Amino acid sequence: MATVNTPAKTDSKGVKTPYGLSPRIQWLRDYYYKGTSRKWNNEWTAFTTGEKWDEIFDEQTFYIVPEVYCFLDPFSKSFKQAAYTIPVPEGFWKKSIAERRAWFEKKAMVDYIPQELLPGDLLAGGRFNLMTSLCLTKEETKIRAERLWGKDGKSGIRGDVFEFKDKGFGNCGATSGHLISNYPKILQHGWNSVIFNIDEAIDNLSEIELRGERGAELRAMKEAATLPIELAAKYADVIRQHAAREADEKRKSELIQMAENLDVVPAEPAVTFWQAMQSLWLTHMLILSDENYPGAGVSFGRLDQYLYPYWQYSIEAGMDPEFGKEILKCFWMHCNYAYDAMIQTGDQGITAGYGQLFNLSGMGPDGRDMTNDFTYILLEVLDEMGPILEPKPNVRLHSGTPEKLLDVIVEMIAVSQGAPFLLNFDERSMAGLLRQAKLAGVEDKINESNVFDYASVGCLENTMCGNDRSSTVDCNLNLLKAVELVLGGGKDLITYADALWGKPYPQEKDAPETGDPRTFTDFEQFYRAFEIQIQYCVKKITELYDRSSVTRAKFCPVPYLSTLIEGCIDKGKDVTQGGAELNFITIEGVTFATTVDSLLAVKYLVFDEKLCDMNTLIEALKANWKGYEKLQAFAKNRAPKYGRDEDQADALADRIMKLWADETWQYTSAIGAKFRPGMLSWNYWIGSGYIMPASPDGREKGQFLSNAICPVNGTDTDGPTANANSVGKSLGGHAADGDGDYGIWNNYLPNGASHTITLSPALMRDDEHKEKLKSFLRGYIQNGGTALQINILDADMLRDAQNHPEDYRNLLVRVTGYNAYFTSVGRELQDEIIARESHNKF
Amino acid sequence: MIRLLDIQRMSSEDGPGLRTTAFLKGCSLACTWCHNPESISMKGEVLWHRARCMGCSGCAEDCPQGGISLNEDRLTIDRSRCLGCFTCMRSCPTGAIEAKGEEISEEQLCAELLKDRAYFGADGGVTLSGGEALLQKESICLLRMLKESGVNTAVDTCGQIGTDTLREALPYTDVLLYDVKIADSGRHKQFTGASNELILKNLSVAADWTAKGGRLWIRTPIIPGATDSDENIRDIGEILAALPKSTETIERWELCAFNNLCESKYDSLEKTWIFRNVPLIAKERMNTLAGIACASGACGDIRITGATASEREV
Repeated sequence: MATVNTPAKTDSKGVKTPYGLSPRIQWLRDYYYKGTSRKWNNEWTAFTTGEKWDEIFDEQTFYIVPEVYCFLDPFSKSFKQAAYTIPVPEGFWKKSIAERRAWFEKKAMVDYIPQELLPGDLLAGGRFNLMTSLCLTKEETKIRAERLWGKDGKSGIRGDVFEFKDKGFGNCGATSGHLISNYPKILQHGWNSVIFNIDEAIDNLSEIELRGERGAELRAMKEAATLPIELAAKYADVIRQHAAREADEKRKSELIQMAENLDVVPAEPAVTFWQAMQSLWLTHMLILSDENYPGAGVSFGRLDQYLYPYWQYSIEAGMDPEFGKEILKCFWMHCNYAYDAMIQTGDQGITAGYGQLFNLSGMGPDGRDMTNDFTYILLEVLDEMGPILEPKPNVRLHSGTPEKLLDVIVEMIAVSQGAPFLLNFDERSMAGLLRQAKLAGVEDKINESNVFDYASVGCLENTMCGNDRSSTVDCNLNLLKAVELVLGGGKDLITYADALWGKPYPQEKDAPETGDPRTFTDFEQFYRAFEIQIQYCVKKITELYDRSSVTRAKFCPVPYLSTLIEGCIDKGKDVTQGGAELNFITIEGVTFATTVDSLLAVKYLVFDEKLCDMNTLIEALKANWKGYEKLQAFAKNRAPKYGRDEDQADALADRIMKLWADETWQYTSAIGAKFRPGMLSWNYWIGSGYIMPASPDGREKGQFLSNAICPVNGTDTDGPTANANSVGKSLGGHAADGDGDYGIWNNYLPNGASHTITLSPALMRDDEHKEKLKSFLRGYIQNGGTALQINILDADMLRDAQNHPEDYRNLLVRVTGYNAYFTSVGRELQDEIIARESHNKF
Repeated sequence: MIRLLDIQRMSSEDGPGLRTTAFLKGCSLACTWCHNPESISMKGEVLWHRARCMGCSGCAEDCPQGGISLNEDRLTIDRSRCLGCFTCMRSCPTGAIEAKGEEISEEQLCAELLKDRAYFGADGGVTLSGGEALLQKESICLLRMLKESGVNTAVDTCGQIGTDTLREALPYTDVLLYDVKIADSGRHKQFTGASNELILKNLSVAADWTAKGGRLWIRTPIIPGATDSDENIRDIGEILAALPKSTETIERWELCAFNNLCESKYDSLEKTWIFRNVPLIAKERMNTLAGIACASGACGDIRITGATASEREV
């Protein structure tokens, strides 16, 4: 891909920089990075019905972000204070919540939010970060308040979620995004056809249904479906005014073309590539508006597949490929404006965790590879724009991946500090989704003939496209809590306290009594108690989550989003109420390796080597290993560990994985969604490390837990291949008889599992070594997990970046598949990344 | 049974492609610069890593020979009494005591080496190294097992082995990484403990074998004051060039720059190393030597490997 005369891809410090940008794109990119000093921004704008009881902010979307718990009340109050009032029409309060929301949302977007265009921009659709009234009546507001905060304002779902987190169980809450809308439907048929479909669905309703919830929801969807059409018309007007004032002839003709594009899309099918991108952007950005949450895993799916026909059409019609790339680069910039929502809290907003993901390449029917010219165009755009946070690419690899694609990928990894994309592995991923289809009885929707069309949302969570809500980040469970409850015989090992006020919580009283572990005579007894506590923890999170999910379903419909998820129109049901054809709620297992290593350590210390008795171990953990340093050293250094490709240790990893995964399948939520397992730890493995007591694997309280499916940091002493083999085995490995969930592959986790490894830069130093890296990736396809983040960081560079952040503003690292600027992540995490870089340190 | 020193997985420096390398214990030479001093003796040995030691003295208490004592922050191992039973290693909670030379069956070792076969690709495979890989006669059996399982095999040898042994090994070998260190036989004996006659004899056997499809890579460690003279490289070049059709038989010739990362290994064995504090070779110097090697016409593919002074150690 590197061509002669391309400008340097790295700066004098060796940090990846953007290159080959036109003046237009350079300006747009520079302007974006001015951050808070920009004149224009896309900060949240709040709107209220003006009623004194009005609620705007749905705090439940933030229940999975523990670091903002203390801001929930300020958020809620400041939005109300800053909100503009939109007077509601007569009869408004007699309508359903969904209809009210659809009307209110459209009114705000079309008539209150200004339509603006940045200089040189080729795509319309500027501001989209909205915070709109929940449009609830006084009575509805009261019921919702009682559910969230209890009659006393302190109990309720919020209080229970806080306690759940504070006691080390994890966190959960009905949050937004994390799905792939049916964008191809809009590109191919336009919004008018959606309206037609809704009308049809309404016509098919009986009189009673029409007066009931289905009728109301469909009317709300119809209102919502007119929003993009009306907004496009407004933008067309504004752009024509720009064109009239424009002196530069070239720009003028661009503006006229943009307005003409908006006359066609998104109402009608797109014909040209430019129209397709315009249609895609407007449709996408309004999801972010509708959910009042920017970019949270609202993902694009297989972008290089469904945009390819438009690209081909326009190239054949004479479009300069470089101009096509200009359009794409404008699209890139638009996606990044999601971060403006909370821009006043800092340049990147409060978190860099938004994931507008798209997939590239991957398998098609009959194992065929689907890489096309446009795949490479998208990678070029990414390379030229990078480092940049959004949108996030995820390249799908499989046994048939062409050499050329691997060459391009390895080249890009070599010049970046971490791969600028996540790699997804088709065979293992598809195995998980086919297993899910069987266990959930949805083989009509996911089967051998369509599973290759899966894609990832957020960071790496595998779902189907356009009809699937798998709530992939809504439940995050610390598996290690079950070990603690075994050691405590059903009680907490330490006294937990409220994180905000320091008030101690009473002892855990609902956990099953699994007996005094001091009386256990063998490891199997310990393991049986662990099984029971895992069952308890899984049940507890499903019950707590369900309360949040049901409350959202009742009070926070998203009719616009629902039109884009197949199943919702047919059923006349909102996506929050289970309207999608495929409904799942993912429990992300956190602290997996720490849990496996803890059980391995109990077996090693107490039962196999008899280095101590159970009482001593419990006392050591309560004392945070103080006074038990020798025992701790045995636990850390001599006990077997997951991540070294040791069959006995990995067999226990497999056993634990199967145990908790099977357990999640036992539950179905009140909206009819089955719970399914996955492994993504976002940043919880850091935060929970300060909450949970010392663990039998030698970890002290305050040290990090293990991240997603990765081995505990520093324990993978046998290198990346051994690490990857352990990961693959823990997911079920290969079927002994060759008949796995897909081909030879098994996979317990349909959602997939986050795996991060750091490789030495030596592996990319010349072409010969790059071939070796390619061999590694080919091997990973066979033996590894579902998704891999490769970081190429050397410790010296990172230490320098810690000390001279001003020199490393562009240094991008990815943690669990989300991007962050190294200099903007916390010191602990920086140290962590450095520690991971220097291998063999615990 | 094989006395194993170490296994290195995902090795990118032990032959073509991505490889798993087994280092076997015991060497027929004893080069003064040896980077793996723990590999020389055929006996089991223990290493003590000061930085990892917590001073619990468990090793001293448990040693059946009473051969270990802990004085303040220094562990003393009386190696003359060491049986290589590794009790001390098992008593050590931190891994400060590391065992080198544990015995493992050929079958077990073979299974271990094949764990990464998915990553080997078309070019990679398993490398046997050492010590001297072919010194333990079980290594031939291991090579055969590896070959029968269908993986590519490489042998990293110093050449100081019986010619019959080499002939036995070659049918199960795809790539030979063959050391030619010093051209002058007297200096060879002075620095490695043996003259180079057998090594040069075996070199021609290896060269003949390439006609049957074997791949031959020559390696010359560039050691300050020992092997790094212009003369030595010129003379080695002449020896290599004298092999029939050398540019065809020798696929590549690597000049491996001296590195000083092994200093701590000598500390762990309580041995002294005459190359302590010797700086890395400058990149320019390596280039000069590569130029001389090139001029010999012995091989069309001359490579420089290892860290040089102008580069950062990674």
